[in-house]
Amino acid sequence: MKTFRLIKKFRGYREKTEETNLGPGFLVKGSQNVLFNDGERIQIRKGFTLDGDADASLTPIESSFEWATHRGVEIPLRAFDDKIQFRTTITGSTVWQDLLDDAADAFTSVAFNFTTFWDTTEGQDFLLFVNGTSDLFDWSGGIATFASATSNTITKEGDDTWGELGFLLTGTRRIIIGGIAYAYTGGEGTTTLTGVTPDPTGGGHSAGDIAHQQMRTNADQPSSSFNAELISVLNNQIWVGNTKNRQVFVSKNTDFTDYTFSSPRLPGEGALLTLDNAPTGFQPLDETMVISAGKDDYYNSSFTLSDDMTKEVLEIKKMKTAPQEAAISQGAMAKMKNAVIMLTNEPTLDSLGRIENIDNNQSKPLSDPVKSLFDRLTFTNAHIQFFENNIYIAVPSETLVLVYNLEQGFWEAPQVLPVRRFAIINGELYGHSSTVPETYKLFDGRNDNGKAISANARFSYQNFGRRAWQKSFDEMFTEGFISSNTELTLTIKYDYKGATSIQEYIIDGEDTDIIVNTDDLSSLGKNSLGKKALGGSFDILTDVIPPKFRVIHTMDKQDFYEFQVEYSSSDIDFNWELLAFGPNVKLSKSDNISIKK
Amino acid sequence: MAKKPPKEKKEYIYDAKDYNHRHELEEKIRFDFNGNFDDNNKKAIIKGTKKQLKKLHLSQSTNVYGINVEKQ
Repeated sequence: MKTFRLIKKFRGYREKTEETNLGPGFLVKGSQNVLFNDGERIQIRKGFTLDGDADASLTPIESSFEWATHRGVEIPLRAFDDKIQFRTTITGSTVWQDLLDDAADAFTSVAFNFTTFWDTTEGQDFLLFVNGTSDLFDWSGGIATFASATSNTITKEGDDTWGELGFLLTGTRRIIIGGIAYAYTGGEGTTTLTGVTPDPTGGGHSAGDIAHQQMRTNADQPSSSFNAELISVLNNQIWVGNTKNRQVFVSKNTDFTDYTFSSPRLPGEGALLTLDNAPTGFQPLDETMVISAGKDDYYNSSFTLSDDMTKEVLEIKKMKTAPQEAAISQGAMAKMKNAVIMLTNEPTLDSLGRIENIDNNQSKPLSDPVKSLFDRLTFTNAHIQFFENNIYIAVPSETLVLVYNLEQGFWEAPQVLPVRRFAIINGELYGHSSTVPETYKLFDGRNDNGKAISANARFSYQNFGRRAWQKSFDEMFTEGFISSNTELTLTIKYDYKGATSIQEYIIDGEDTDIIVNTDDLSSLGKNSLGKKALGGSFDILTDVIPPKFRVIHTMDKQDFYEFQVEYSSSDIDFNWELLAFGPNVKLSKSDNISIKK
Repeated sequence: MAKKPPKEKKEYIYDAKDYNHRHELEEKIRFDFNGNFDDNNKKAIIKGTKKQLKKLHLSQSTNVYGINVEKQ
């Protein structure tokens, strides 16, 4: 009986330590599109599917937001070229609808930042957004479907009133149907708007057409001499900044257009803060607003009530940080449970939060195991998203997505994905394209919107603890799962970069000799209730687990000091997972005389 | 019909158009009142158009050392 030295524990991706000095089970540079899953196996990642219509225009999606409205309706938005679109399924299919009407001026910039605000007058929340101009835009998020019209009324489908669906009750207000804006003066408490102009019967609208509230422009907010570029909210107070201006405006908690304040300041009033550097991003954390500024700085806000509770001081406290530790942009900051995570100027991925018994926020680097990877990538327009115990970083200039697995505490291999912005829609992870105005549901299906997935699991070199001695083997064992349509290539590199030899072997999913079972393990009833993990690693139990295989490839013995194993595939709808692999290695009988001098 | 009480005459009227920055206004008030705002603030008012007041980050709902703001 031959003894195999198997690797069955996988320990994530490393790109810092010398590949020949790493322990067994690490993935190294050259690996891509493979992930560690709930079954603690390495698997080819799933693909992505198109959400909404295809569009080949070469205009990437530059900004996005997922608005969880107070009505319980989630409204994702995306912006590209000169427009904003919102996503709705109100018609029964997924539609990305233009927010502006046809007659409106196009946006001069679509590098939007978004936040929300509770309006006590309307009794509903508003979406607020800015794009580096002196305008502050707001939208109530009203979406309905057109039923019928008279010369001055519009009736919606369904029983909910216009007001219940988020349409404005006061002020100058319009709805947009088929790109035409109609003003209305009443009827929000019913299903029929009244006082509608112009005559909607001339618009040629059909029952089921989408009708939505027109957004409003608030000129010169917070100031005519200030271009609002960054925006966030804390305790219903809006924080507005600009990456080229050290001033930060804070609004009153009852009015996002009021940035005034008394001396001394009263609770809930606005404020004007002056930083030592221009801000690069805002992120609320606990009771404070974390502000990243310049290349180096972080600030924490602090609200302090006077003893008689009639005054409130809003201060900003500069935190102790090192050079280059500020976040590179608003998109490079995100929330992660008890901390803020951000891409810094170094570049590194840091978390900022309270650790152990230290009361102040502390910076903690997460990207050290892949430092070389971070050093060689360009993070322009990068976006960070925390989702189900993983941190996702879109690196659009490299067409890569980096994934940090918090549950396991290691990095996954880089994923080749054309994503510029992430979105969490209905609890699923989506990606907005870095090249065209398309949105994709990520890790869905077995191909990349009809294209092949090129997957490589390249492992660290192994020397079996005898670095200076030659070894050899003549059999290589591999165990895992493979679908019948898949051909998985095993590549063995003898010595560094295959200096002595490179051998390839095919593991064929149709080879019945190596397949253990052909049952579809994902059939209903095969998985017990409660087995599905709550967050954590990548989900496998809701997907088809392909049949199990085990195979031993035989080969001529070749002496080597170190060897590397790689499993790879590149075609549509391939599906495989690795459970264990290893050779029947023994020390060679040959002396290592060739390197003796 | 009872007579309306005579309107209190303000001793200090601060016109928002005379100040470019909030701190200039605050300095002037501190100088005039010598740090004693408890009683004397009733004798003063800050006036200006909405635009002039906004430049100083003021509105009718705010005050400076207890001195009320009036939009013209």
